[in-house]
Amino acid sequence: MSISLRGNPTRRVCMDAMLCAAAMLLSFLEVLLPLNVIPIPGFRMGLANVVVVAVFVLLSPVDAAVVSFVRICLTALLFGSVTSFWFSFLGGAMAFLMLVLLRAVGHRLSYVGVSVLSAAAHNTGQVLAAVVLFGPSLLPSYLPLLLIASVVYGGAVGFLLNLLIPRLSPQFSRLLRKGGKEK
Amino acid sequence: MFRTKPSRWDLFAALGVVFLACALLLLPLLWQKEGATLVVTTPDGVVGRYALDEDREFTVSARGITLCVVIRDGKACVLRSDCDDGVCVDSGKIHRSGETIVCAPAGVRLRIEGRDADVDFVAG
Repeated sequence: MSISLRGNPTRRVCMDAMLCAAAMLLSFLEVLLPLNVIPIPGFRMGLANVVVVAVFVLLSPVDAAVVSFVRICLTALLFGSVTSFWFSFLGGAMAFLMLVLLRAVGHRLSYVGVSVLSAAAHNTGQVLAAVVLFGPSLLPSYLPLLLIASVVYGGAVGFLLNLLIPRLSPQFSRLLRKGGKEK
Repeated sequence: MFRTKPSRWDLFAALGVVFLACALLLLPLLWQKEGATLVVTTPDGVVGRYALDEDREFTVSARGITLCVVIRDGKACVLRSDCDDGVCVDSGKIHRSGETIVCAPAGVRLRIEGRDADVDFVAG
């Protein structure tokens, strides 16, 4: 069950800002913690996607897009560069489009499958960014390894979401009861 | 919206991604050949072409970042780099036509070109 915040823009902005901060915190944590056991250069686990998918399911796709985009911009401003922004932006956009697609046709999937496919789309977006910036020669060598890694890490994030979503749903409902409307 | 317990469709999705990865990994091997030349490109353009059959070590600098590139036994790699993430150093050795090492912060690209590409010049 998702919550609509359309009638309360102030609460919506506050909620999205808080969730964006949570996503940024997870992004920062995965850099600090040695969770990256697959030695692919530049690859990350994608813990921030836990927040984005949760927002997509529990609030709305628009809120998820806002949280994702703001997180990407702030992370690039604080810790990255123009290049890293375009990598993250295209990756995030592809992952979001995959979520929108799966929302329509992926009802038989659990969050494991959703997360695997979103991670694969994210990595494909990042390789596309590399192709645009540096030429097409990166495609054969990098994308297959990233896709295999996305199965591992996307699956792990998906298992986490399978546990979290049922537990977060009543929490979100209680938190937003006064300002939101249950759909 | 989605299920909260894993289903066989998740397995199908994962296998689909793995199959796609294997296809992308194996298909280029059908047409990739051993390379002959390392082409070094910076934001200023092509700055050097080096034959892979001559062992050498040289540096490339761009955007304030210096890379140390080594060609040995027909393979090229980045030995050291001033960049923050070190992705170029971790990229390993390249020797097949089309293989590339990129240092994104420096904007440097090292690409292997095939045997039919002539060595136009060698940067000093």
